[in-house]
Amino acid sequence: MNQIILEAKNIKKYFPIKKGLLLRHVADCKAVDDVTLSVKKGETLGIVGESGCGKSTLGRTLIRLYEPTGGQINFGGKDFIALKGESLRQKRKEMQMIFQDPYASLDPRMTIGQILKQPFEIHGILKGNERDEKVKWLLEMVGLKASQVNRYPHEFSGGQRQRICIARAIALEPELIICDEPVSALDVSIQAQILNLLKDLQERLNLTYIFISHDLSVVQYFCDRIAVMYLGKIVEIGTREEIFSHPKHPYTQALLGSIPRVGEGKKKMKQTLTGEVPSPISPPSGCSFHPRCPKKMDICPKQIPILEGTADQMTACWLYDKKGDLLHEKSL
Amino acid sequence: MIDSDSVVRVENLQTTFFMKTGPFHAVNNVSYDIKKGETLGIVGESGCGKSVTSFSLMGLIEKPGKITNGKAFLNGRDLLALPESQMQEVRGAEMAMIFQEPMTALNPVLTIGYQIDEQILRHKKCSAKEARDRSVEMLKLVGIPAPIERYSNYPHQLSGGMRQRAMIAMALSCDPIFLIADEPTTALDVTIQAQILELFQNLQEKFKMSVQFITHDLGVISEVSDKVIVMYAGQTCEKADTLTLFRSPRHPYTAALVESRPRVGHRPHRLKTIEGTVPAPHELPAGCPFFNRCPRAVAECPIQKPPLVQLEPGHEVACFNPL
Repeated sequence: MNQIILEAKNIKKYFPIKKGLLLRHVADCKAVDDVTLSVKKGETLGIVGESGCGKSTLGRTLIRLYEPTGGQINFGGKDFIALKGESLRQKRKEMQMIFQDPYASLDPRMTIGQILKQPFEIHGILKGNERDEKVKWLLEMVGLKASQVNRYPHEFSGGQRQRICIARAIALEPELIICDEPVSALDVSIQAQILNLLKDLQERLNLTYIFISHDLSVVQYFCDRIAVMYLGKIVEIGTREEIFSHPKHPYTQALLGSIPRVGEGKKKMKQTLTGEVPSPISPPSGCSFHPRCPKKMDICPKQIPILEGTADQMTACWLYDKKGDLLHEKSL
Repeated sequence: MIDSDSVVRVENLQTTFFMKTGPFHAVNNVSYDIKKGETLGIVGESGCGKSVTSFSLMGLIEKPGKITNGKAFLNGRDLLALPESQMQEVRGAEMAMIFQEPMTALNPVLTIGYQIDEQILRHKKCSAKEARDRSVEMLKLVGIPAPIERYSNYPHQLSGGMRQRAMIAMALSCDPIFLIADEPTTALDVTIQAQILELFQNLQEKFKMSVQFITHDLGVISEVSDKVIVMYAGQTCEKADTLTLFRSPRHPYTAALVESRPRVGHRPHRLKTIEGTVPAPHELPAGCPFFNRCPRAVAECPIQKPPLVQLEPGHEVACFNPL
């Protein structure tokens, strides 16, 4: 259970910004900047943050849809970045992705059967009848009817399309699935259906998930460990219990404070954070959260804090020492 | 009975879309009233008719849609009976609307300032200079830093949160007594959403507006509104004050909606779900539209539409077998 399936070290993904007639490289957009994390077999790691914080870029870099600018990825005991050609293709089978918008991620001109057969065609697995049987099995696994195999994506509702995307993702029996906002485009009652389905599949197929979302209530329900990102960096990572009961980073605290809660009646909103997320092209110096931080200190704009703490919770904030204990302001 | 406190009173509103597959009631027999300074929340899933309700009040329903029944009073005057020329005097002045996506609601080729000026000049007797001063003052009021510079900016030069603030400034520029906010924070991040909701509440307190707040987010509706209407397939399922509705819902749909939402600090092994999906407009059953997904359906549900009945004072439910 505690076997580490994916380990990423100092992952960077910079998008170059080119300007002028000669398209000279003038700056970098540091979408993911120095992210280190590991995922254990069978767990769900949540990645949360606001739009533009780099959570989707991180997901796509981990699966090598984007080539990382720097860093190492160790996936299932192999150096994933060094893999090329056939060996990369073989390894990719073990890692799949589910995207946010089930309207955009299914080819409208292919039937569901054709869509679900594609993974087998690409990898040359199973033949003829066996393939058809497998497709039927997949449809039943995700709660659709085997008789719907000849229908086109537009004949399905949003929730059903997301089920098809899930069926496609589990087709090759992967170890790890990266779910990039899988329920954000769906209605509340459909969200619950999809979340339950993902949970059932995880138990039945022993899957590991990286679950990217901006919705903290969903993440709290679904994830075992949670990484909070801000401007390309992980500012806090820890178990669900620690992050939700004892958030340490002022940004995590503000995020949790901003969740509207059901059933507590009308109340006065209290200002949690001022300002907006700065541009990742020219992030603030030192801790990139300092311009919005209510607990800003002298050191914050000068030096970048390091992600440190215990195995259960690590925080990148100058308020805490190496073990994650709160420092008194005088001792700084 | 006419409640004299009500600024807005909607009676039996029905908006019908005449489609090739036949007419379908996007809003059917919806009634409510909103008092001065009060916020009514309308909640429901996509396609439940919550936005069509607002568009009907604003007189923004276009073909093939038509308001086929009902009355909507604003300060005693029936908006639905007004000719378009008079409606133009009301729209933007006495009542205003904030839309979900500020990027599509603002004109990209005109400056923010021009767009706010335009509305003030249309409704108030004032000079261009006075309108400009008023616009800058409004931008300042909604917390836009450097309002004079922002006045001459184009929408694309502003962030999502700032654009929504500019939309609010525009909506409030002619001191409306009634404001419709249609998913005003759905496109925004949580921390920005918290900022906008706070601003919204402060402004409402200051100007004592009546607000109709539409969202699919149960958390947001729970925090901003005094009373709530839950809509499903164009009909009112349940109407109650916010605390009662979320703490002791009586309609099976409301209860299921609240249960299916993961909540912080509450973590069941599985989420409760509502099986199936909302029926397509042309497949609506004759009886209760929710009956095919309802765990508590009884014999009369598929045959007859349940009437909206008052179970307790201020708590109305349309269900034959309420919880």
